[in-house]
Amino acid sequence: MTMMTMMPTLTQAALPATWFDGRSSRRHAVQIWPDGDRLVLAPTDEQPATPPRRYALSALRLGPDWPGCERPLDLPDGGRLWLPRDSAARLVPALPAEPPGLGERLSGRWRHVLACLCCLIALLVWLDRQGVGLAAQALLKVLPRSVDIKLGELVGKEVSEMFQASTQPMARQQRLKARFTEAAARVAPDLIVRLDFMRSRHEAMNFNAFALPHGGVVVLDGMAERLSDDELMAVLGHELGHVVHRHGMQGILRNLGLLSVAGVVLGDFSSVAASQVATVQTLRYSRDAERQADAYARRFIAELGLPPQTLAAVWLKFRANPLVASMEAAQPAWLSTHPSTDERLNTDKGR
Amino acid sequence: MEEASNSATTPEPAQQARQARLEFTGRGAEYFRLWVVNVLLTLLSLGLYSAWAKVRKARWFVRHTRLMGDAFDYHGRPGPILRGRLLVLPLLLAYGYAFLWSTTAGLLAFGLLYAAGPLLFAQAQRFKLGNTSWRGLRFGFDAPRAQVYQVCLPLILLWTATTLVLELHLGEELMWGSMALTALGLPWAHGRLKQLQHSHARYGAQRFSYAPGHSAFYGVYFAAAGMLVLAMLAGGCSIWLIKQWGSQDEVQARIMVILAGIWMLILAWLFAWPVFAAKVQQIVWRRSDLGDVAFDCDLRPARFWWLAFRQILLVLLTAGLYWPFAAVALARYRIESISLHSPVPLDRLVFQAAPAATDGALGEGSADGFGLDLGW
Repeated sequence: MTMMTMMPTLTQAALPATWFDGRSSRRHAVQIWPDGDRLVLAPTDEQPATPPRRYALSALRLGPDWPGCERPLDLPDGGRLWLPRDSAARLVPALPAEPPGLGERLSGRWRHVLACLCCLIALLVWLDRQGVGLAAQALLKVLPRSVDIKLGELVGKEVSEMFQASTQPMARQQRLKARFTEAAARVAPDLIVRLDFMRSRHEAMNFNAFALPHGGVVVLDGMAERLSDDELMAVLGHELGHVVHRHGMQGILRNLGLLSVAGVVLGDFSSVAASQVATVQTLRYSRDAERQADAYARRFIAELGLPPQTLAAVWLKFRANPLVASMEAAQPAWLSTHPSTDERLNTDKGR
Repeated sequence: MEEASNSATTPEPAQQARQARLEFTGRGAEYFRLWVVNVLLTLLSLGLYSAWAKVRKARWFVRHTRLMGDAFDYHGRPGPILRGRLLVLPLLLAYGYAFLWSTTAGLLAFGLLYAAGPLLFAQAQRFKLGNTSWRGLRFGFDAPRAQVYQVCLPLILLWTATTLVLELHLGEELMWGSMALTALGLPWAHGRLKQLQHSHARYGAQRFSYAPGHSAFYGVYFAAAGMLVLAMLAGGCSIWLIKQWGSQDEVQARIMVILAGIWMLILAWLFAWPVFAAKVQQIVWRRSDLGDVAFDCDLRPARFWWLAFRQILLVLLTAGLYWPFAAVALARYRIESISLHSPVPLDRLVFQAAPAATDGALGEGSADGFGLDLGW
């Protein structure tokens, strides 16, 4: 009859709960009720009945209130109570709840969730357009150039395997190489540059030139054939701009940043899915970088004493090239890597 | 709630169920709320919040998983998880990029991975299971260190063999050799890993046991490879169809090559992953026992594949917003496919607690970082 004497008073209704003592997996149906500054726990299924347990209310913290879940309550003796939500609600003033973290508070109301969703979408758009690029530029400042050089050497090896030997006359190759290295030594004395002529197996791909992060610049035959020496120097100035501004390394850092963002958003089930999203986004390698390189080319040809129209002549030949024309017609904006030729021409015609 | 009051009035009925199934009660809309806030705060805090996000997510999934009317619970704290992640980030970066720096740095990073990887894996298991409970008792994982190395090292070596051969420029023959070795050895190593995980796990003081069967894992990998072939066929067909549609411009062809590569990867993952995950889960649980209790898993690979296919399609169509709903749908199907079968009424089974040990969360963070899917 101990049970009777321990029963709650009329004002304090006993509430049903489930109790585990932490020593065995046995489930106990219990009744709980607050009694002064204590919480009383009385097993209802024990035979013989065990005396009720009492816990100081101030030492207890009620777990979060989630729809469809009982609320957990850890006991100082290693036991665990699961309270039905309505039982818990009736204990709340006396029983302190675990203080909700920022995340819980925000997730708790749909209004806040919607506000967070808007912030998230805005943040993702900004990160994609600007944020990741800014972070990459900041990181670039602390990354030594030796990494660019190492990377350029690695890529350079693969590139030379991809292409065939150039069919340009040796004399012209030598002349342009000498002219470029001499000019580059004047404009960017701390860089070691190197010019190579190569030929792509695919004729349509031959109207191109590119720079590697360590200062290696490659001009493909299609471009060398169609451009004069002076015009080639303008193109080389553009490629040198990429090297000087370390656009290659910047692009890699940007890729990594986008990968991390995609990883945070989609990563909880598949990192493969996340990396795919990042790939699509990085195809659109910064057009700002191209504009920066164009600006460098303008300074470069001025330094060489070439007229500013040289660059406009290059853009005109770009536009005349069926490859570039069809590329601009076919590519959706998010896939194009360069500013449009019309934009470039407008910038350089007026000079 | 209902059961609590029922069992109060009818203590220990003689007729009790001898089998029970795991239940998952979480709903996509609820996880959506949690996910949006987690992603936003993680991005805003430059990743620091990810430890809190991890705890919130694990708690949410675990507390919505129920067995015989009682929920599981997760007790991991964000502090140790954050410490673990911060410690392991340099290791991860070293593993990914050291060979870009120099061959020596690369070899050092891989050496570090071989030395620390198995320990990190064991630690991750211990943290994860030790912080999961049901009916007031914690799960646990304790495997002898020597055994952890014996099982994990071959797996890591097989996993990294081809990368190592490529980075050290050991020649094409050796590369093909190491790829063949990986293909032949990986199912075996994977089977041993699952055996390690499931035979050294415990609930309270009761150890799980696991009947090894490496040949079954060869079946899984074979099925996954078959799905890859199907994916390539489907991808090839779809690309051919699109090619017929448009003009045969060289530039368009070049863009197509890039897009086709991405499309192929998505298809490969979409075709192979669900079948692979379903079959592994099935093998592993059917071979596991907890004392006299046997587990079964009636996950149907074909059904899971169709579910995953639809869910991922919806994710793509909603630009990712459907993600939390998909995650919940997939988790529900995987969790609810597991059932327990006992020779005695399940409610009469009582497990005792083991002396608890608390650990740092280095392993937990690191296992996440390495993308090891430790499953349930």
